[in-house]
Order: sequence, then structure tokens, then C-alpha cells
Amino acid sequence: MSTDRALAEIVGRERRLVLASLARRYELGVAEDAVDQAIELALVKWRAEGLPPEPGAWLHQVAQRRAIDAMRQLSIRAQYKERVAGEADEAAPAPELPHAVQDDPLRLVFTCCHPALAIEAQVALALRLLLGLSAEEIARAFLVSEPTLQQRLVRAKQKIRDAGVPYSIPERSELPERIEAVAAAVYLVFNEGYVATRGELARADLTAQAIRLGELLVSLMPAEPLPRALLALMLLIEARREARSDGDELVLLSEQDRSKWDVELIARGKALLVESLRLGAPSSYAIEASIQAVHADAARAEDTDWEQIVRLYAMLRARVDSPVVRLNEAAAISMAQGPRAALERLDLLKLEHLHLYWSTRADCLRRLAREPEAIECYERALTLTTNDAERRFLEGRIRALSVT
Amino acid sequence: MDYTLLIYASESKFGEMTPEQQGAIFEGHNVFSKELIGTGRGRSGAALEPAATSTCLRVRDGKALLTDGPFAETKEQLGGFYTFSTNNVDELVSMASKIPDAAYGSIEVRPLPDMPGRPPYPPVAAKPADAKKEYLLLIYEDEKRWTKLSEAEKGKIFGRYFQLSSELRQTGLWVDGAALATSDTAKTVKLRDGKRLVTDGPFAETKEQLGGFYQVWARDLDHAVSLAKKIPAAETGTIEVRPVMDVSQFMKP
Repeated sequence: MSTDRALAEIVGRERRLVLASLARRYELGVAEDAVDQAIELALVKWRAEGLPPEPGAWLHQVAQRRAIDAMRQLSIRAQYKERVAGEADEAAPAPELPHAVQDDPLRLVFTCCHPALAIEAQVALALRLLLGLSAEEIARAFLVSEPTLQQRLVRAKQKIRDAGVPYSIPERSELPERIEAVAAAVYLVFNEGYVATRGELARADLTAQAIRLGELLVSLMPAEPLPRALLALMLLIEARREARSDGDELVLLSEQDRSKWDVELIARGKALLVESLRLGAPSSYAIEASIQAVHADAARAEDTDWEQIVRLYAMLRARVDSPVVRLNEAAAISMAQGPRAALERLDLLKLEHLHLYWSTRADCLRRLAREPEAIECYERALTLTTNDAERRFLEGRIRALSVT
Repeated sequence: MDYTLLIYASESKFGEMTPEQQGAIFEGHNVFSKELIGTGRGRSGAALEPAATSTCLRVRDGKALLTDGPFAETKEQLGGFYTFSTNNVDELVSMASKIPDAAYGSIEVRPLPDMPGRPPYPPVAAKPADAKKEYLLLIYEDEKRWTKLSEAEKGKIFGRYFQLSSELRQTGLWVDGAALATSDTAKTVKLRDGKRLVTDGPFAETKEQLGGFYQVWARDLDHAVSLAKKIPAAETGTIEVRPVMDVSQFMKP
């Protein structure tokens, strides 16, 4: 391993810990700048002189000195805050080493993903402060300009400071709701990466970043069921990544080459799901992960236990009753009980703005040999989709039906 | 009658002013608040942090929903308020037009009616040492909803407000609080080129209107939100939680 890679690895590991520890005593923006300066200095020094015996402690010390300097230069208000924080620290002595406080990284998680911040801001903060991605990387992944993203980060940190967003772990009574908010932000990152198709490598990489965040949540909250369910869901979907596209083409689940599925990710996902269910009542993430696990268990598409999937969708609907969940349930019913039963469900849905509604309906009609109606529905779907691969798939279906 | 004088002004217009002009506005408030206190009929007031620091709370089906930003994304935002007691409408309008922001924004004047059936309140207890930050909890609600309620239903809801007001006093978190008369009683005062412009009606005609506020001490935003959750209107309307600006560094004693 090259020295640079070794250094990058150490810095990546220590950055979050040092930041999390400093953020308890200083404003988030001040703490972040101080850590960045300390890392810059460390890279120069360590390349020349080699690593100190405890790189984390070294970074912590230098960053702390930088933060104190910065506070001195700041406004009266900031100095006052430092003094107040200092007094609080005397009462409860601050740990010398960042590793001593397990809670600090968790505080950082809940501050970054605080529901008083816009979800785009939560996501940007999480990727920047929890994973150490650069503003440029995040901007590229979310298809916004770097100044826009920088502005978003600055505003979020200002709001944290001025609105008094606490640097703390929520109270027990608030915790489930707050963990859900964190999970929602992480899952949004994952979905951004999932919907990105070809040529958008930086975006597809977001699924990997979301999984890193998921792993962090599991390690920080080992007794909570939700982070495990979230990570399980992401891993089970990620396991099909290779099989999901063939060049530029989107490959439907039923058509996928299942030998391309990542068995290791599936095994990890299933294990996490089991652990999550053992820790507490199933969350919507756990139910969704269960649905993915049923798919993963089928060696061939025709072996899929659709009855089980229908039961899981009914469970999911009891928890989060959204039209999209009902649409997916109808699609599962079409496989388990046939297209006629599914059409009855689809008739009850008002989702005429969604291409998936029309393509699901079209598929049921096609299987009932009602070709003209099927073609009409595929055409409706075609006018609504924005995805090229999806478009080609629908056009293919229309062509096939028109021939017969 | 007590009135609240709500200050609506464009934050960007203020931001574009020179430091001298901004200083003059702070100084203007300094002079104004002294005059208000001098009348012996000024009760309270607050300057608010910018609207970007706001968080809105809605409680629906027992679940709290938070969103970033103020209740209404408008060019002119609530920036602060004073309360003043008078029986002379001319004096009221004259006072409103002396607020420095009247020269580039609008001052909405609203009566603070006596609440029927209000029990005597306990004295305000000592403030807890860890409650270091002041917040304004702004109550937005559809006024039409009120007209549809029976007297018994209204009484029940008032009872919850009285309970909360007592609780805030007993825990030492109370700074101020008031219910506003409906928006049809409002007057809006502006000063342009030294001329006073007075119109009937609220500053903004919206479906949900500011109906009252609590000004409280809290440890942090989470604490302030937990207090906002106890406001009955959180379940039917919106509570905007906005930090109060610490003006001690601008205002001369």
C-alpha cells in the first residue's frame, strides 16, 4: 500500500471522530474548518516525517487549537458561546481522546439529519460531514453546481447555529421518529443512485455512499432495529445491480440473469433483516427488505413466491398506505392471482399521472389478450416516462402486440 | 385595549442597506422602545432572527411534521413586534408609523382581546438555568374554522391554551403570549416619503392567519418544538418556531 493511500485511509477514519468530538464544543462550521486545516497540516507533516504514534489524538489536538484560534477571532457572541461551553466542560470533564466518546458521532448524525433542515440540506451535510465527500463530489452526484451546493451547506450550518439545532441524541420518546428521519435521508441518497442509469457513474456511486451511511448507522445504534432493516433493504437491492442493466438497456426483474446477482450481498442483507426482526417490530423498511428477500430466494423468476409477496404488501399497506404501495400490491396480485384480480385493484387507484400505473395495467390487459386496450395503456405509459430504457421497453411491447 | 404592532419588512432590502443605515434602524428601535416604555403602556416586544432560521410544526394523526423555513415564503417577513395599550386609534397609528421599519416595510396593528373565561394565572417562576435561548411560537390557523365551532368546543380549546399558559409560567419558560383578534380587525400602517398610509385589513390576505403567539425560553430548538407541540393549533394549523434575536449587543440600555 502506498503511503498516500495509507494516509487517506487514516484521515478518512479519524476525520469523522475528531469532527464529532469538536462539534460538541464549537459551532459546526468552526469545527469543520478546524478539522480541515488540521488534516491539511497532517498530510504535509506525516508525508515528510512519518506517522505519529496516535494520529487521531494528534489531529484532535491540532484541530482543537485551530478551533480555539478561530473562536477568538469570531464575534462577541461566538466567544460568549465558547465560554459558556467551556464552563459546561468543567462540570463534565472533556475526554482527551476523541475515541473516548462513543456518542459524539451519533450526535453528529442526528444534527446532520435534523428534520428542521430541508431534506436536500440533510443529505448534503451527511455526505460532507459523515462520509467526508467533497462539496464538488456531492454537487456532481446531485446534478447541481458546486456554488449551489456550497451555499446549501453554508445555509444549513447557519440554521443549525442560529435556530439552536441541538448537538445531542434525541430523548427516548423522540428517538423512533428521529431515527426514521435519518433513515429517510439515507434512503433518499440510495434512490438517487438507484434511478441513475447509464453514464452517470458519480450518481450510481451514491448507492455505495448510502450503504456506507447505513453501515455507520448500524455500528452507532447496534440495538436499534431500523438501521439494520434499512441496510438490509439497500444491500438486497444493490445485489441485483449487475443484472439490472444490459449495456444501456434496463432489464426487468423477471428477465434478469440471476447468476449475476451478488450472493454475498444477498446473504448479508438477509442476515441483517433477521437481526432487525429479532430486535423489534418490523418497520416499513423491514417489510420492504422482506419482499426483496423473497425475490432473492427464487432461483428462477417463475419460482417467486408471489403469495408471500402479496401478504407482505398488505402488511406494508397497513403501515404506509400510499397509492404507490397499492400499485405495487396490485402488480404482485397480478402474479399471484392473475391479471383479472389485479385489474379490479387497479380500477380503484387514481394514479393516472404515473407511467407505472399504465404499464402495470397494460401488462394485465395483454395477459388477458385484450390487445387494443393494452396497446392504448402502453401508449399512455410511453407519454409519461422520462427514462430512455423504459421507453424502449414500452415501444418493444407495443410493437410485439401490434404484430399479433 | 392592548394591541400588537407586527413588523413586516423585506429582509433583502435590509440586507442591502449600508451598515450606517442598518445602524440607524437599530438606533431607531432603541429610541422607539424607550418612548414606548416611557408611555407606561408598552408591554413587550421582540426582534426575530431571519425567516431562514424558522421551522414549521404540524401535528397530524399524532405525528409531528417539521419543515424548514417560515410559514409563508413571502418577500416581506415578520421581523418583530411590539405591544402597546391605548384607547385612541390615532395614537396607535401614530406610534406604529414611528417604528423605523414602517419607512420601507409595513406595520400590521391587531387588537389583543380579553379571553373569556380566563382563569387567574400563577406568577412566573424563576427561569431554569439551562433555558438560554428565546423563541417565538407563531400560531397560524384558518380563521373560518373557528366560526364553525360551537361555544362549548371553543371553550374546550381555550381551556387547553389557558392550561399551557399556566404551565409555561410555572416552569419559568414564559416570556409573553397573546391571542390576536381576527384579521378583519387589522390595520396596516406604512410610511412612504414621510407620508402615513393606513389601510384596513391585514398585511397579507392568506387562508391561514396569525392568530396568536407564545414567547418562551427553551434549551434548544428541540425543546422549543416540544413546547410548540402542546399548542392546540399545532393539530389543525401550523406553528412557526422562530428564534428571537439577542439584541443586547445593539440596544443601548
